[in-house]
Amino acid sequence: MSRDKNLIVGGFDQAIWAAHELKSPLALVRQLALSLGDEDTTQIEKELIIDKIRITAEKAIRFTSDITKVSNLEGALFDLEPINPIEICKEVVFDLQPFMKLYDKTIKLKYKKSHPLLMIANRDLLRRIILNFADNSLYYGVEKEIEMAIRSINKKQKIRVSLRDRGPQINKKQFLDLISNVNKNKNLSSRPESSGIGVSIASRFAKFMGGDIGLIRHKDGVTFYVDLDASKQMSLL
Amino acid sequence: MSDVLILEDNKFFLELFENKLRKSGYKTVSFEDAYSAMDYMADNQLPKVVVLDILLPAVTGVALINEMKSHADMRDLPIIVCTSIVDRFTASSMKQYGINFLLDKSTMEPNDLVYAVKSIINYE
Repeated sequence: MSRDKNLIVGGFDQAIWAAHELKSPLALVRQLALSLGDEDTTQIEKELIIDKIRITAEKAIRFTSDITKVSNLEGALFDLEPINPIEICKEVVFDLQPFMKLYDKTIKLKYKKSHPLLMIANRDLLRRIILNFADNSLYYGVEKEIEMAIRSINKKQKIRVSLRDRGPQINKKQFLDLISNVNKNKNLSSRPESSGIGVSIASRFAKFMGGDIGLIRHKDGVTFYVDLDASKQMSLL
Repeated sequence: MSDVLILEDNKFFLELFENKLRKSGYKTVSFEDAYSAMDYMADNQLPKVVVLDILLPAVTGVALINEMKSHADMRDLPIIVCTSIVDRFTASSMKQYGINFLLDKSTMEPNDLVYAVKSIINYE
């Protein structure tokens, strides 16, 4: 009985959390739509506003999709397979082109062409993690170029995909709070930024694939990364 | 000198607010994080009004308000809070923080911010 009650309470808390996260993009879409009707809005401004509405809606849809996915992780069947992260990263960069164009930003992908880097992952979950980090870096980064890098670590036992931005810093405690709060009843007013739940979700996705996410602080920004097991497939050839 | 300092981390909201205020004839200066806004106020002539969001990266808008209140020259700067968590504020907390206007991002009309700024600047 008490277990059922906990499940219900936990689910309700998460629903409130998700609803709160969606409030901001919905409020923004409303404001943007209202500004379309302003007499002093020029045709060029209207076209820009329509782009902003589309991008805001797409980001909110991605968030709802991630929420649904994370709530169904347990017991779900996700194939883990050797994946080339370069292709996934290129897909993410392509998907975020409208966002990058609007803010005149670019994502530079760095990797060594001479070393094929395969990782054991689920294509969909890995893509969601990288999209989440890229979204975050584009949003909070202050410089025009965001750096996305793929490299092997731990004597080639792990593959790391990282995104480096130069924006407002996040401290270690905030980060640990973010990744540990996805299932807790959290005081909304205490969260440092609206993207917090995205980091929590990315952490869950990574753990589900046997990996982890992390953060490196720099004096002028942060690097978010996901580490997953390297595939041994290539070494057998 | 800028009339309005805007602190808002969402770029799209920020551009909306800037456009509205500039088209109404106000000079604006904008920041996406509280540290930069505070640095600006410490080194430049103070704006007539501060418009700020509460949920911001790294440091919240409340922290900026507290910081402002600790400086004699910024203590009485009019503050307009524009947030989606208006339900977290009560009349007494508004008074405690010295907030002149509280605007709900979810329900406000595009010109509400202009009206609020106008009423403060015209009153002065």
